[in-house]
Amino acid sequence: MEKQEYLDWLNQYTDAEAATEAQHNLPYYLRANTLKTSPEEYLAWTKLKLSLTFLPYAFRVEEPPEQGLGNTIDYATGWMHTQSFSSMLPPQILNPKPGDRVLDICAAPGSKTTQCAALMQNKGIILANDKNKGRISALVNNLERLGVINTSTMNQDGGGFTTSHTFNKILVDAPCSGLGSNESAHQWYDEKYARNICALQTAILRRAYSRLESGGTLIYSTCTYSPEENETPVSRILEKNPEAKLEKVEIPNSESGLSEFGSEFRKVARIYPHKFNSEGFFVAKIVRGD
Amino acid sequence: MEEQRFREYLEERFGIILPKEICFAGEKTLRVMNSELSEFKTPTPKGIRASRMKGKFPKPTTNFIQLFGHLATKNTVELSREEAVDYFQQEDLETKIKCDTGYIILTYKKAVLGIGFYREGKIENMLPKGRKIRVP
Repeated sequence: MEKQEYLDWLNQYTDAEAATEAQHNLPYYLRANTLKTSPEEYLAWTKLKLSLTFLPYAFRVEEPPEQGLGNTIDYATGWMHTQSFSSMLPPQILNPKPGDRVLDICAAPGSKTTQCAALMQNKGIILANDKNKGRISALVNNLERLGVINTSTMNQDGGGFTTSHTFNKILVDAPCSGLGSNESAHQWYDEKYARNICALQTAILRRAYSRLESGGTLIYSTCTYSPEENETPVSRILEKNPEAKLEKVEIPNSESGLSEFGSEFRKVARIYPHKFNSEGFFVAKIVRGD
Repeated sequence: MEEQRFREYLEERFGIILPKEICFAGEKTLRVMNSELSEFKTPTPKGIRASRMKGKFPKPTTNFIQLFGHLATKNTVELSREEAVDYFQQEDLETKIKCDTGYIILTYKKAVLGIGFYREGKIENMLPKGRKIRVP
C-alpha cells in the first residue's frame, strides 16, 4: 500500500496523521525485572533518568544513553528489560499468578514470556513456543539473562501446535503486519496479505484455544490496526465456541473494538500511538466458560 | 551426582544454600528450574543452564550466579561502578581482598554482576563473550 492510500485507510479507524507522527517519535520504555530486584530498589540503583507509568514496574526513559539501553549495566545484570509499553499490556491483562500453567504460543523473543515469569515470581509453569528457530535463541538468551526458571521452550508451528498439556492462562501474541510498530509495514500490507495473515492468526488462535481449560483466560494481541488481523480472528473463535466470552479490557487512553463486529467488541482494546504514547496494539481477553 | 556435587560446591565456596523448590537436571551441564517445572513432562529444554564441569571445579554460569549470587556469604567482591563497567567489557581486575584461589562472585551495589576467577590478587574475567557491553 502506498503511504497516502495507507493514511486514507487508517483514517477509517483513527486520526491517521496524528497516529503516524506519534509513531515516529515514540519514547523508550523499560521494566524492572522483579525476579532480581524491586521497582523501588531499581529506581534507587539505576543511573538512567526515568519517569513513572501506571504499571509499577514499568518506566519511561527520559534520556536514552548514547550507547543504547542494551549496553548498560542495568541490562547486563538482567535488572531491567527494554520493552515497549504497549507490549507490556497483554501479560499484565493476562495477569498470571504463581502456580499458574501458562502457554505463550508465539513467544520469541521473549519480552512477554519473561514478564509473565516475573508476574509469577518464577513459580508455576510457562511453555514458551515459537515457530522460528532463529528467534528461539533470542528467547533463550532473554530467559537466561533475566533469570527465568519456570519456563520450557518449544519450536512448533503455532498453527499446527500440539501438546498433551492444558493451561489455565494462554497468551497469543500473534504474528501480524506490524502496522502499529513498524513505520514501513504499509509497504507490504494489502488485501491479499490481510487474507493470508488472518487465516494464520485464526489457525493459531484455534489451536491455542483448544488447550485452554474451562474457566481459563486467553489473551489475543497484535501490534497492528487492521480488523482482518484483530476483530476477525477473535469473532471466528466466538462463533465456533459458544462457551467463549469476551471480558472487558481496561486500558487508560485506549479505544474500543470496531462496532461493526457487534456490541461485544466494545470489550476489546485498540491502542493508538497518539493516544497512548507507545506502539499501536490490539488486545482481546477471551474467557472459556464451563 | 553432579547436582549433589554442585550444591556442595556452592555451599562450601560461597555459603549458598538454595531454597528447597530449586531443582536441577542434566549431567555434565546442569540446568536449574523450579520444582513444578521439574515435574512437568515435556521433551523440551527446561529452565536455564546452571553449571558445567571445568577442570576440578563445577563452573557456575553467569546467569545462575546473577540469580542466586545474592545468597552468598563469602568469596564475594564488591566493585566500584567503574570496575563494574570494566567487568562488562571483559577486562581482568585487581583486588586487595584476600581469598582462596577459585571462583568469586562480583557485585555492584546489591546487583550481582557475575563471576571471576581469583588468584593472588588478580580477578580473571569469566564473562561470556556475548554479554560484553559497549560503552561510549
